[in-house]
Amino acid sequence: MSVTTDRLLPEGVETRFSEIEPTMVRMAAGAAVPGSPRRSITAATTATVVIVGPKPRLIDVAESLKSGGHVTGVRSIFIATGSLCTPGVRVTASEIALDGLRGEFIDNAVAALRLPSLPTVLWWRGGDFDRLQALAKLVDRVVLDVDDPESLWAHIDALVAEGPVGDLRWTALTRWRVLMAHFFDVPAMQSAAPRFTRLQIQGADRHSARLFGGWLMTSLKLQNTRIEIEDDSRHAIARVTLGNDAEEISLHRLDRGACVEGRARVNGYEASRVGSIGDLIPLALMSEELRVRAHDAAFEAAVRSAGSIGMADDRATV
Amino acid sequence: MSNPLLDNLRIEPTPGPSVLVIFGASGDLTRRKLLPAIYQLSRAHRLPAQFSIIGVARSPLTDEAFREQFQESLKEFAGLESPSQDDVARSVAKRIHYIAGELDSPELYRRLAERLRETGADGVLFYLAIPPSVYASVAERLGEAGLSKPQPHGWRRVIVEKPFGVDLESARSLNAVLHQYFDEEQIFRIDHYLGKETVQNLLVFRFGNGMFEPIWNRRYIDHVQIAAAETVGVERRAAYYEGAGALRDMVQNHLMQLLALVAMEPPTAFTAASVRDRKMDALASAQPLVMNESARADAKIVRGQYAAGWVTGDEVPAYREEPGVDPRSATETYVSLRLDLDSWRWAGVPFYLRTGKRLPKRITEIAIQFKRPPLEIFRRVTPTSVSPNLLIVNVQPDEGISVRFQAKLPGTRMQVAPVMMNFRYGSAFGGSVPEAYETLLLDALLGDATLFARHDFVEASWALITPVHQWWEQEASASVPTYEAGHWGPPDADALLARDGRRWRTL
Repeated sequence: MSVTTDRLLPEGVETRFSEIEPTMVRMAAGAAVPGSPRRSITAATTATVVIVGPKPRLIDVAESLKSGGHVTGVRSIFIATGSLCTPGVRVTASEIALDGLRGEFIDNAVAALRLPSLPTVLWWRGGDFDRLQALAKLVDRVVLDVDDPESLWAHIDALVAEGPVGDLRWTALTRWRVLMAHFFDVPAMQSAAPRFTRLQIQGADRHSARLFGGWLMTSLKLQNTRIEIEDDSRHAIARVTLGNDAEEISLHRLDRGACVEGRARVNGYEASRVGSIGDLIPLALMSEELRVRAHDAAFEAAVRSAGSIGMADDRATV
Repeated sequence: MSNPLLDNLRIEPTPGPSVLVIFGASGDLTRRKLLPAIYQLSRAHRLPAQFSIIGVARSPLTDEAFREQFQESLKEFAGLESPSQDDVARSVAKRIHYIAGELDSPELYRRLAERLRETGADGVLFYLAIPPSVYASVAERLGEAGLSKPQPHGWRRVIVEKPFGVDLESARSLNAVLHQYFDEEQIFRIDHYLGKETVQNLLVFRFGNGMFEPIWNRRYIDHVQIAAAETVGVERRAAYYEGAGALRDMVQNHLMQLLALVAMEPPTAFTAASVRDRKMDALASAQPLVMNESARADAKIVRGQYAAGWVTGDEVPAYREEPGVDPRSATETYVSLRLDLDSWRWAGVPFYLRTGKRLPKRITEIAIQFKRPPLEIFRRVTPTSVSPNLLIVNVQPDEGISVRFQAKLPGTRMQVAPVMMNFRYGSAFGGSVPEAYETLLLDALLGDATLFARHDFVEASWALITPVHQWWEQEASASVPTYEAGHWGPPDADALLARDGRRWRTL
């Protein structure tokens, strides 16, 4: 049972910034003792994950990291933004929390605390774009995870100029994209794409819907396709339909929610399949992101294209 | 025409429209491994939209009954509580069909051909999950029915389960029959050890890093130990195991594959042909195991059979008391051997292999022991000699790599102690490691034969061990040494290494 807390790493120990490393070493030795409340640290590390955002948005991640499983082998650095030059510091054997650090010092802190010789991934959960851009220069990859990404997506070119960028919304769309892509393995489907005049996306999260729409528009080079985004409160994305009056590819979340079903009926070709939607909790998505190192050109193009897909009404069209 | 939606899509390649035909659909392997693997692949979007499964076996099942068997298998072996409520399972079940018939009846293959035509799939993968005694006749029937020849826009492949023959002669004749109807590129001889993550990682470890290959030779390595220990006894496999024994069951395939991966030269590319060529070179360099009276005293191979004992908390009977086992059986349940490779890289570096049933612990590992430092400058300050460096590749159960090196003990005195640095897949990377059958089944559907055994490798490994079997068959059954279940093999096994001034690693 999780315990609600307003502290980052309540099970950790308080220390000074300059004492972080030796304290972690002592904690690691303690974690190796049977019966220790923390999971033991792994001998092999793979990356540093820096999680930056308002404190409430960090606490839930820190809580779920305790369970291990999804994101392991990493040093996690939680930085709750604030106005302090001397933030509160708590550490466990593999985690560091800085509470209330002034934005302009975040990059200094990361430079001091990240593991050497291994990739550093920034998990951005909110804050000023300027701070994000400064940190992007320092890390190997940025992963966006904010409620309203509009202002960040508007600066996508400036961000990708610093290094590879991802977005957990995009990660959550991977299975949808896989399912859609499989249908286009068949040449007949690819040649049918220019005939598709309608793309309908139903979902609770407009940003995800726009991202998915943007991806299809750019990848399939759709030019005469009307895009409709409709609210559906059940899932971030509940249904996608691409086609015309006679042909259709549809993807929809199945009732029990764990799977997505795809059906295609195009130019005499018919197929259907069901696949897992995957684990959509942030940690699971982040674990997928940790496997990516390079620029994701499809994401970048989808974000740029999403900008042209309307936002205003319940039924947004292009 | 490349698929524009695949750009930057974080998925591995998926096969084109295909059908998996499982011969032996009602058997144990299908239930335990194949059906759960298909489910997991489907769940992970690794199978094409147009994919179906046709089960073939003698049992008179209907499509529906075979689908129920699929659901049962997921419940038992994939940990699904309620497969009938699982959307992926239901979707896969709809694509499952069954054809009952005698495997040597041409009528069965006529119906199979008809069913395959109905599916309209480009590719067909035949999986021979059947007793080895009928491999040849099924291959012949497939060939005669015209099912082995690739179609203009499609492919035909066949997966053959081990054992690939019982000796060199039978392996050659099985290969000859298969080659009559299938080209070598169509034949996928499966060895599930090669699907394990750590075994594949051995290639990455050796050839994806610059620091290990320079010391991967006779100049720095003292010897290599490859162990595959099981705690289980013969279980329900007595009928097969009595005729096989540990040498055929484990050494000829699994351990030889591991040895080849350790000993091979760097391939020029990560392609099936290049990797398999280099593995073949390594195996071909192995010195024959000489078996005769004069060689008995310094025999390079030791066998044993488990006697009654105590393993993993239970008293267990002797092998000869197991159900289905001949009370005078001479079948070996333990083998250890020394192999020497005639190559510039490995001259003078022995490879010790051991495998057995009813050993104290279930573990498979490759241990590479390095030579001691040329000068022991700490001898004066440390009472025991410095432990040599060790690199351990853990294949199962805890997949990973460990390195042992010397460190100074904290304190004012100069004292030295060995420490182990561990990398574990389970903890270093998030997510789960796929089952070997998932990896291999998918590779076969994709036509990637890198992790499958080639005919010449199979024959070369049989050529190595067949003389041993022939020699053992001449010896009386009474001469099979026994070891207490729960111990690490017969005393002769320790003597095998002691003769060389070495000993088995403590597992």
